[in-house]
Amino acid sequence: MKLKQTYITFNDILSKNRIMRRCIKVFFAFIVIAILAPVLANDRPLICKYKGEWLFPVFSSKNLIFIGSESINYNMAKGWKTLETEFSFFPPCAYSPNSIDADNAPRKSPFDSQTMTLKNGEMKALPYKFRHWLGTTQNGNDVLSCLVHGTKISLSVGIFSMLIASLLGIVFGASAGYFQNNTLKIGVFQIIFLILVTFFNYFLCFIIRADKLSEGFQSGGIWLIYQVMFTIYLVIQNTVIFLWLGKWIDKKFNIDHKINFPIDTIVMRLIEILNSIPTLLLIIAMSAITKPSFSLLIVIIGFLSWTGIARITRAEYMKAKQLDYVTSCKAIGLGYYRIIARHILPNVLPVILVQVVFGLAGAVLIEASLSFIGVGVPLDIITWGSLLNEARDHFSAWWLVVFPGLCVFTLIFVYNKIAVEISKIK
Amino acid sequence: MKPVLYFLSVLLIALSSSCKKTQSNVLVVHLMSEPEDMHPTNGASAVRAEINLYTNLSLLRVNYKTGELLPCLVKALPVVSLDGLNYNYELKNNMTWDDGTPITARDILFTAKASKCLYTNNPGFKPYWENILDIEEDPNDIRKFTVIMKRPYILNTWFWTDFPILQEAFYDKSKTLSKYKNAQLTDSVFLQTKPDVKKWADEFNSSKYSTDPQFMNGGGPYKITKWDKGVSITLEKKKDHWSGNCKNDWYCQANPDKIILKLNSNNASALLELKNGLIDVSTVIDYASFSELSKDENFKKNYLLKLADTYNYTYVAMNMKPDGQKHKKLFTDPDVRKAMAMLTPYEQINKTLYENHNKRVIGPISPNKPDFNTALSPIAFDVEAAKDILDEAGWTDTDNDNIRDKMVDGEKVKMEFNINFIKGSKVWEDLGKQLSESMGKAGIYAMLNPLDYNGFFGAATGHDFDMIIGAWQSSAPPEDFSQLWHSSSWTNHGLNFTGFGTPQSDALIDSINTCINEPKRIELSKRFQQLVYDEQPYIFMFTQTRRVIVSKKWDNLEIYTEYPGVLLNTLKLKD
Amino acid sequence: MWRYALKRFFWFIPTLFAVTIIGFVLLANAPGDPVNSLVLSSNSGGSMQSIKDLEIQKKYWSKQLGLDLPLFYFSVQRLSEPDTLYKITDEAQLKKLKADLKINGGFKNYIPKITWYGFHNQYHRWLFGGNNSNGIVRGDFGMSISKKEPVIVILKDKLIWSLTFSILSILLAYVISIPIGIRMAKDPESRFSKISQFVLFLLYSMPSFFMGVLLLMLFANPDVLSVFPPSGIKPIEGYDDQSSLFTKICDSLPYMILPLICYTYASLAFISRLTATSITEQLGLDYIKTAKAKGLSEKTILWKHALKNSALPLITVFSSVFPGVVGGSVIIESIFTIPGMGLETVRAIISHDYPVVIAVITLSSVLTIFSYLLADILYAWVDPRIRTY
Repeated sequence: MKLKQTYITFNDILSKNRIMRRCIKVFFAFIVIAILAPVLANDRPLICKYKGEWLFPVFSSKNLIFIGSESINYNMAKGWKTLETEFSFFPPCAYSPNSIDADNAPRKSPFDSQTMTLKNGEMKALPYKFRHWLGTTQNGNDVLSCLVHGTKISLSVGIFSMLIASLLGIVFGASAGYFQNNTLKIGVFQIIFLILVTFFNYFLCFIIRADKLSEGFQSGGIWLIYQVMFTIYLVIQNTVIFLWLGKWIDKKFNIDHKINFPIDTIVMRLIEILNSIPTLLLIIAMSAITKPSFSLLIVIIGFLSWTGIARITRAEYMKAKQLDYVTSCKAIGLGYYRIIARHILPNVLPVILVQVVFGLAGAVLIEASLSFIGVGVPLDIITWGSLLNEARDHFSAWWLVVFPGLCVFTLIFVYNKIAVEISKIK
Repeated sequence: MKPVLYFLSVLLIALSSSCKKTQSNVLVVHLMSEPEDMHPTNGASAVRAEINLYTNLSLLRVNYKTGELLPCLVKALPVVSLDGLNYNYELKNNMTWDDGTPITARDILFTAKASKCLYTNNPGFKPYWENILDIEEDPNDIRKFTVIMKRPYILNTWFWTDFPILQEAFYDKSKTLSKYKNAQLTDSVFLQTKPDVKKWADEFNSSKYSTDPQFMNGGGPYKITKWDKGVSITLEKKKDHWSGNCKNDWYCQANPDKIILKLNSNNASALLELKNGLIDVSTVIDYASFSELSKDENFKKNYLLKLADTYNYTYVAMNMKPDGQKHKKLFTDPDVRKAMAMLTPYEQINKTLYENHNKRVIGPISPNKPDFNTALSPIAFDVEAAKDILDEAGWTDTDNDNIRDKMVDGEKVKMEFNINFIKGSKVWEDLGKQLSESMGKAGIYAMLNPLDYNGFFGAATGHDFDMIIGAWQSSAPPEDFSQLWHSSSWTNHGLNFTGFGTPQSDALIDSINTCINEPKRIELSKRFQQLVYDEQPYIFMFTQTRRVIVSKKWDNLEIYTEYPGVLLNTLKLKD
Repeated sequence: MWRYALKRFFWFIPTLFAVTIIGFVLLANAPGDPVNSLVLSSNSGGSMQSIKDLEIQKKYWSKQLGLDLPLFYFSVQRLSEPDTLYKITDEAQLKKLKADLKINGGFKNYIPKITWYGFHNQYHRWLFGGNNSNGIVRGDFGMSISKKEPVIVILKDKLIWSLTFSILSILLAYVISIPIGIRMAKDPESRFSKISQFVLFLLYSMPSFFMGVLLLMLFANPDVLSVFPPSGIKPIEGYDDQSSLFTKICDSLPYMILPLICYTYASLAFISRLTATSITEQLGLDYIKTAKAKGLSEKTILWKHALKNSALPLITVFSSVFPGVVGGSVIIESIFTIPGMGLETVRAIISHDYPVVIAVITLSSVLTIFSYLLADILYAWVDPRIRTY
């Protein structure tokens, strides 16, 4: 119920706040571009008619088809443009980010004359539908196409890493803020079992599952995220089982002695440690250890940037604890979990959201910075930052500086502005 | 508003002082990468070799104009005995070290001993000294000595050009090495009983000799006076060098008072520095920047831009003898290797990455050398023909996943592999991308695998690769093929990465190496090139072109094919 | 006061330990075999004539680097593995052995075992010294693999440049943004406030690499405006040998301006905003009203009273700006080729020179921790109420 109310007030505010509305529109535009990237920028035509057959190359997952006796390879990149089709309709940007256009390399400016070589070896001016509107790179990659496809990476690195970070941040922050040092009491055996489970978890993660994890780190992608998540799940499951066991033994032997569990101190120390290590340096070092991949980057950023969210959450929970509705919740005897998750969380969510959105901007910046110095990101995927990296060797290629730079800037600006505007709503 | 005012005044100071450049006799040279160390025997980087040209002297040097040997410390080229094993040298008179003591045969002996001693830390250079059996000094004349070789070899005199002569009194104050013979110093059993040699070697190998300018000593006309790590290296002219009046030979000339080698690994900012007139000489700026500068009329008023040939070439090596487990048997068939060479888009690469400045190489010899085999025709880029060859060789796409495959030893092997190259070079990254794209069109899946320097060489010499992009630096002397192509170099984990070599080719290499007759050697070398051409262990790509940019303030410029292209000490400031 | 400082200091010791453990874990897991790289490119004390020599070499170096010791004070292992497994330093051999043990292990594979090794371990050696090492507590971060020099020798000069830039930029940020903040607080609705707020916010969202490349393209480019030198940190000829510190600074100044702008601009928005809010808060308090009633000029009130009392949040900002500056140095130094820690880190990463990377991380973390400590103590110094807490 509370969530719905928040949503309504949020909508209400949105209709009044012009700047925020615009920023959110731009953000959604980025998302749409990211989702539609393969349709917006692709070197295969959307629809074409070849020798009487209609083909939909963008949407096809096939590699090879036969028309009559002739075989058509879907990966022929530039070949599609010189193919003598009866009808063809190309995406607005007729290049894939990795396709090499040697005719317009190295580094053609948007205003240079651009050419293409026909099948018979003849050179002619590039028609407008194939033009590189934002220029090309050293290898002849189309900048516009790289920007369109780069959107997907910038957005997903930000959003997925912040999903991890906010999950961690809210869990840690809420438990630290709500329980502090004097609320959570655990029994003697529970403490012993907690220490035991730490060793056991270490054994499980780094010895039993070491092969699987390192396999995940090497291959990257979904497999990595699956491995990490599964390991985390195992850790949580073990911890819960051991704690429960401890509780059971405590009960069995009637040990009433309870000890305060200083969860607040532990979380705050953890935050302090993580904050004192320069994030960018640590990410560089960690991502250079294994094969670079964006999923690894997401995991690392997520695991390093929850501290800000946790701090805010903790502060908010400490405040909320004093409020009447929480005391009344306690009075009716609601459980910890219900109070923390169902009653306090919806109320403090907007404040946490501010931090999360700032974190999005930070994650985008980290990804772009890493791509810019060319460390810890895969080489074969061109991103906004790596375009700028290319310009670093050739300042005369201003289009490699200005367009990707503006993209990074706009996305970060939009995130920051949204965060600031949310924080104004009280 | 006050801070803004301060800020403006700071800006003004900056304006007034930023672009001042002294008109003194100081030559500023652009350096792309810093030498790892400057140890006289142990270092390996190319920059170190260049600096040694000015700070050190050798027995012999290269005559850059003719590409022949030039006597440097010795009066004339050696007198060779009939069996080609004894070389009699005589040192020039009046030569002195910095402290005024004469350069004598003892220093030559010491240099050889220090280089050959097992404890010295120069694994890369030991093989070059291997062939020296002993050096005997003339008991009557401290300037005469005889070098005794183990076997006749084309480089028996040439190899001296690479090695600076060390001063015994500087590097071995207690004269430890003079107590032992050459043979003893290479005997590991004998050395175990001699702690003093170990002590000397530890001292000699220590980092002070490789990093501290105070411990750098040489007979050349220049001296390293400052090494600001990560910023610059300063060479200063010695005030009273013994060769003060020798103006004919390049090695003892010293026209600029100071040579500053300024490190800048970023092309764009090096370009800006050139445009600002802060750098006098650059031979390393990238192709694109060179093209950009050569279109700039303003810049051409102050600078001379020239392209010069080199003996270096770029290649893509394929693993001919993979283990079949970690690395599948992809390139064991010469036809497949030839198809790979056909899949390389040479013209496109030359255009996009090298501004069409580079020449094709066809075999392991640069086209700028006399023994280049002109009868061989370069393999052209032809995707369709390559596909046919691959089909014929049994590599077809049976499972329709767009990657070719073949049954090898009862196992289905896919044509997918890694291309290794050294991290940090944008050009090689782009080259790899173009290769991989082009191969992709023929149903071959190549992934890029950038490695650090040690990892790259470890994998290459350990035969732990499928395909690598690399480049060899070569020089004017007759080519010794044994390091790169002899099969023993493959078994010993040497520089023969691919596994090339048959008994015939090995025999041919041996006969080339011992052939003193030049026309005959050229003929043998051509035959060897034909052998390599038939096998295609490499995709031979391009010779590299040196991009020479020199300020017009400096006169007396000559550009050579031999490294480093421009001899900095011969440049003269115009009045 | 001192007691408080001491107490804070002791609180930081566990953090310091944790940071070193993170650094060490990264170092121990770094890919590539340092012994192999060292033997490949350098072999002090022998030539590599035979495989046997190579083995001796490897043994020598793993002893020299302390790699033949157990990793930590204790280890958690499978029950099937012997507790002297650490003695095998060769990676391939170890892998094979582990696989063999696993096959023969049976159920023992899944039972953990804890072994205590005592102080004779790699972490202890790395931190406190012993076995050919002085330990990082005495400034010995081990040896750089690619340069074969002690890491601390490589980093010494670089650290000075990086610190100069970070401290200067933070000072500069304060000097510029406090007056802006005060003006914004004085009249929040004025055009100046609105414009400066907007501009600073734009700058805040600007990625530093974009800014850096733009600055170089615009102000060090003869085609546009050649005001500043494009790279480096001092004149090409270097400083004169006799020059005083002042002339050195003057010589380096033009080189430092563009990088300093890059370091500084992002924190301007933050600090000025904070100044503005905290001064606005102060202006609403009673004592300001009294001061106004006393007839003090607005300038004195703002600059003396209000600023002094709002110094507290400004000080805390110091500790949150500092880590950002240290991390950001990687980008800015590689754009402007400043021979600092950042540039060295990038070089070290590319050549897999892990001891250097870890030393940089550990050093900057320690510096950051000390900046927190400093901020804490300053905080207490400004506001004595905190000390009792």
